[in-house]
Amino acid sequence: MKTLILKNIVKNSSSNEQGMVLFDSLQNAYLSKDSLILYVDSDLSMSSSFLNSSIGLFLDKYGLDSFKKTVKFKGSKNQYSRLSDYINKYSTLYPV
Amino acid sequence: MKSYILNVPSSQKADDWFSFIRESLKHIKGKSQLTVNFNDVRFMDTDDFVVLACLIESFYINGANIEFIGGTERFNNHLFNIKFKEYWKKGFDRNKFTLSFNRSTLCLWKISEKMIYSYSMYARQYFERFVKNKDLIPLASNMDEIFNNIFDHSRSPVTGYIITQYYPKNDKLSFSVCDFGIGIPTSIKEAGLEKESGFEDWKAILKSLEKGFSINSTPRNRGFGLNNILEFTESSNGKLFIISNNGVVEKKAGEMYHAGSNDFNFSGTLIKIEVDLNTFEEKDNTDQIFDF
Repeated sequence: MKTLILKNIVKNSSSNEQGMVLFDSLQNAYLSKDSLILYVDSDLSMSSSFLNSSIGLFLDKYGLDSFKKTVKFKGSKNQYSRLSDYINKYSTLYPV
Repeated sequence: MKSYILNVPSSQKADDWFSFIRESLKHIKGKSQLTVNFNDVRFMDTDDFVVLACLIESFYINGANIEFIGGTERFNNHLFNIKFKEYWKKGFDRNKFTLSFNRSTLCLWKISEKMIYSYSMYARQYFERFVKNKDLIPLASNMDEIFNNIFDHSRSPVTGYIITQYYPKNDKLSFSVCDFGIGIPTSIKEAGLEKESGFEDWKAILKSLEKGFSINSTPRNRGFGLNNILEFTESSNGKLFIISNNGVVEKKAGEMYHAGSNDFNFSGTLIKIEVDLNTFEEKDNTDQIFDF
């Protein structure tokens, strides 16, 4: 299983543009029927714009189940809680 | 040479400040010289600083040179420490933010889209030095939310300004952000999303704080930004204060909203956030693997 180190693929984790970079990696893994570990450093802050354009867009296109099958998380519990909270909110508000 | 003098109010009353802003903005065109007169000002709060910075910037982008006079000696020392006057000096590099001479304040910063992330990360690292082992990531991400909102929705000709201040006695931190854009209520009205005629501005501000509410200025807006900020102030025993157009909303953690109308006719948005850094999570640098 490939590990995707977030800070190595994006210039920042604030903008929509960089969110799209993450989305492309997630989508490639899904379309290749691969799964990946997303490694998020404990010092990265992620804005809603960044998350909407990456994980949110993936959820819109492929759904929560596909996301869960494709992506595992590696990092601190604090960061996991933040991402998990975002995914819960997003999938509740925008169910596919 | 056409010149204009800004007589900065020594009062702390919002009425006085917004009347001053409204009147001054009538004079921004065609001035080659702006004199900012602090008169007998002894103190200005962080929100006064960012509002004044946006006002000065409005003259500056219309071609005025800026000079400063007046103010008490102590107040001028404070202006020097936070480098307030530097922004409008010739040769000042606006593409960088600089260290304040006052340890507990981050300098005035003109919000630049390219530097959003570097500012918020710098603020996090800077203030983590004051609080032992606290994880201030939420501070950075919520600053980003406000900055992104300015570029997504406000259409502010001056972008915006921020000042961040830490209070060591009680570990509280506040930051004030101001833009001179169209304002939250106007954005909602322009998008045709007000549900009733005569939709008051304070109701529009409250609406903007709802999770999932968005005017969709950009394709990926999903209505999380201002709601995140509200949740951030709630979870950190803080306070959120917003003035935009003719509306004002104040929310202290655990208390009811205080919201209402004013006659500021403020074309822009002023947001002040106060949080208690003691409420932040402990840092956690362990790496674990989780399923979503």
